[in-house]
Amino acid sequence: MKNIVELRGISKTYAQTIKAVDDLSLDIATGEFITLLGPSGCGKTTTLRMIAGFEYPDKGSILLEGNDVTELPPYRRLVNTVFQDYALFPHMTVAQNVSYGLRVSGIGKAEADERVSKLLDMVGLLEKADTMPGQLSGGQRQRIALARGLSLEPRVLLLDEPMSALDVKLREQMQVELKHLHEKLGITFILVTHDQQEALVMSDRIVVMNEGRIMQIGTPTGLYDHPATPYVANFIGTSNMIDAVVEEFDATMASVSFAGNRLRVKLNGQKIRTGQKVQVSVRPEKAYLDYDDGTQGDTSAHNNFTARVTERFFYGNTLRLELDVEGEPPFLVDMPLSLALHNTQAPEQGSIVKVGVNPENINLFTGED
Amino acid sequence: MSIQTSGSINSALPARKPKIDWSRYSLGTAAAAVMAFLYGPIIVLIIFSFNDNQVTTLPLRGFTWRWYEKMLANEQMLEAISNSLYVASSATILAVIIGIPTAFVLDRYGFYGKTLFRRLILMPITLPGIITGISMLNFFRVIDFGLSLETVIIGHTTALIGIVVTQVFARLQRFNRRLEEASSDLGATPWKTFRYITYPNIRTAVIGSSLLTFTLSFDEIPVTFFLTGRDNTLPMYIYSTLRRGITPEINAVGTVIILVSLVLIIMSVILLGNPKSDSTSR
Amino acid sequence: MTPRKRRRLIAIAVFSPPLLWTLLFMIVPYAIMFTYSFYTRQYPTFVPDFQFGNYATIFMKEQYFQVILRTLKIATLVGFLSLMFAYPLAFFLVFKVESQKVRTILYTAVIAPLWVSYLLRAYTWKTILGSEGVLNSFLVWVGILDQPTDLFLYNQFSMVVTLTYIFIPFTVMPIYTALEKIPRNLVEASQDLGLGPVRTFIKVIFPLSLPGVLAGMTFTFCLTAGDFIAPFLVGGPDGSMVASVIQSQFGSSLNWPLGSALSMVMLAIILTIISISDRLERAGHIDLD
Repeated sequence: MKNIVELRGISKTYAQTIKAVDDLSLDIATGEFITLLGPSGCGKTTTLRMIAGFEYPDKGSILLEGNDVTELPPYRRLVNTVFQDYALFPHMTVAQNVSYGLRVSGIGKAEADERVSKLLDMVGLLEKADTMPGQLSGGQRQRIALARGLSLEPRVLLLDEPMSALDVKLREQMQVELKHLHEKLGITFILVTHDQQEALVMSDRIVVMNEGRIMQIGTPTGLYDHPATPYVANFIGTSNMIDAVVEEFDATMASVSFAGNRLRVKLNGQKIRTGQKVQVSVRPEKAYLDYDDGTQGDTSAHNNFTARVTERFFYGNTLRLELDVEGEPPFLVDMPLSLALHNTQAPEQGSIVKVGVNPENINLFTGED
Repeated sequence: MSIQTSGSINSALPARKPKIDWSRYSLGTAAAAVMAFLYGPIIVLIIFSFNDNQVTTLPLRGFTWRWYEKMLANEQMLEAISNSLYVASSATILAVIIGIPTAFVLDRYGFYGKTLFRRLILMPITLPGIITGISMLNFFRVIDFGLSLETVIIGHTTALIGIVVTQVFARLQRFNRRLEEASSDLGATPWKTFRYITYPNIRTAVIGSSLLTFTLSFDEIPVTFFLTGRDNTLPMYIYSTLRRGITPEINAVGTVIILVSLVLIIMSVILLGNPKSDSTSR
Repeated sequence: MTPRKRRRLIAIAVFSPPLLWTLLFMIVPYAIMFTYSFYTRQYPTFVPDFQFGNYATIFMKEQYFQVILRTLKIATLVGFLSLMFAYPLAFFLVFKVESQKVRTILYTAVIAPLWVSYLLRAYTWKTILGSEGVLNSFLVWVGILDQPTDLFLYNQFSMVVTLTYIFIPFTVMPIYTALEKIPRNLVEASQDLGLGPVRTFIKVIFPLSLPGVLAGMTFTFCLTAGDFIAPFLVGGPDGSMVASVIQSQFGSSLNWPLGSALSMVMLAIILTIISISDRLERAGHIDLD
């Protein structure tokens, strides 16, 4: 697959000192749905704005379809943007908003009208054509912004936190619609968001950013299951982070100790030495309560340690237990409620439980990230 | 009213019954009096422009169009009116041409000396016109530039740019810059973006402030006094006839000026004060 | 040429006219006026020089110094009187007129005269206060006076009346804006705490409206101090002000250097007042927060 967007070592500094984007390189394949994910101020929006042409990098270059567009203004780039606040033109009707790009690029009124009708039909708002944007709901505005962004049939669509202004229900619905639209149109989508859930649901690939740099690039499952750094492990989903010391290791497995317990960990090519202080992470839903009754399959190769239940939180579909392991920071275990009830009932506060973790579900970080 | 108020406060409060809001009536009377004070003289002027008497004195003597007829027959005055129209429209056009980019500079660019630039360009609003007039008179003398209606136009423009700048600047401050980015993103060149997106959103501010500028320039005296050559503008003509005494003809022309100004002013206040009219127009 | 450079050039091309205009028609003229104030008069013209004689004349000669004092006195009086008229009006509009629409219409009606011909508004007072004017003929007509008096016109009284009349809308404008910004719930909270309307006004509303009061008085003061039309129309021999003297220096007296020096003095006074009022307003803001 050919790359449609290539960022080559781009940097952007504000007010001489604040590095918004720091020597960032990224290749984006044609047709993929890629998400720039990170907390506010991590440089994701600046990166997007540089691709759109609203900002120019201080260093590095930007290629679209192999052509250097670093110096080109937005109106000469084949990318379009859906803005966070939608930026619908308040003095134009919905139809005028959507046809704006067609009209300024010299497409005749008849053809423009026809394409606008198709676009409005696609987003299901054909009957709002003559409405002013001010009279639309948030979700409707978002769809109009989307229709407008697609009106010029761009090769790349940039989405800058397009759903941050919507309520939770609507947001989930729009996520699905957007993903379907992407599959249908086959053009490249670049999404910027701080919402890891949104990124996981929609993306083919996720670029995790922090302080103007890329922390990790990967598929949603890849990032979730194998975060490369504690930062990524914490930013995407929830992780139990445990300080541990390497006891022994071979090519594929290591054994580490924490709070008097031993954990066997599957290695992913990390370089470690005996006695090294490391961090290991375990997702709360990847740990389980071991009932030793054979119903949980073959757990002979799994790690086990005991802990005391300090808190229980009811989440509807899961039950989160907060456990105390020898005075270490709280260790979280999420139990799907269908299973929690399997053995009569969930453990009481204060009871001692046995926790099991598959070595493959533990990530080890050496602190050299 | 809370039930738990302490006894002392309770006793200080009279029993709640529908009572007359005296402050409202007294303030209303005062307000009406001030309004009468503001409009009384204007009404006097209008009444006497129709009064059939050579002097503006009571009692009234009867209705006449005489002063208006005299005004229309006064060629000097008609020439002064056409001079004033020329000056006011030229000064307004110049003030808009220079004022709009100035508002943009102040809204969007940071540069060395920006504060000084802003203060200078807005200063003539607070400064008595005589200072603007005299400094420019000195200037034209130094560059040996003869005084004429054109020097008056330059003077008025300088004195009135600030009106356009403040109004357009205020509108730009409320303007969402993302709209320009969206336009550019959709393929519009900077000119088209200005034409179709930015301008429609500041249009009422531009029109409103031009109306204001036009009226002020049309009525201007202090700057004109120092910068005009042999040609007189209307206010200068009136000013010079006032040296010789009052005639009801002045009341007639004054009535016309005041009525036209009031219409322009009210239009501009409506345009400037109501930004929502931008989004519904077009 | 890179596109980025070209864009910068276009920006410079668009934005240089305002900068040039300011330089050519404001900075240069002010500088020339400043230079002229040190020149020496040689009737009927003047020669370049650098001496403080003109300024010395202004501050040493009774005649000029008196005019400056009188100007300050009248400007202060007018500023204060305008406030007395403008405040109740603005207060009534903001707090006693309930319909937003009516309020806007009334407010427009109040400030509209501000932009209507200054000359005509001053002139009407000449027709009202003159010895054959409306007021006199009215008083004679109803029998209060036996014969017309010339006490009303051509003195400081007529100047103050005329200028106050002219500047009331100017004072209303900022006070109205300041009063409108006061949150209603603050006023209600104060009354809930048991403060009566008068104490609510003194403790809450008036302090919060001070920036507007200050701005209105400053405007009025500065514009009154620089006026030469009202003195010309309704002022008498004891009504001449700095601007009238300046005007005559550039007219019949033909003493441009002295006129320039007087203008500089006036500019200095006005800029001082503006910056003091600016500072007071900023200090006031901190107090209120």
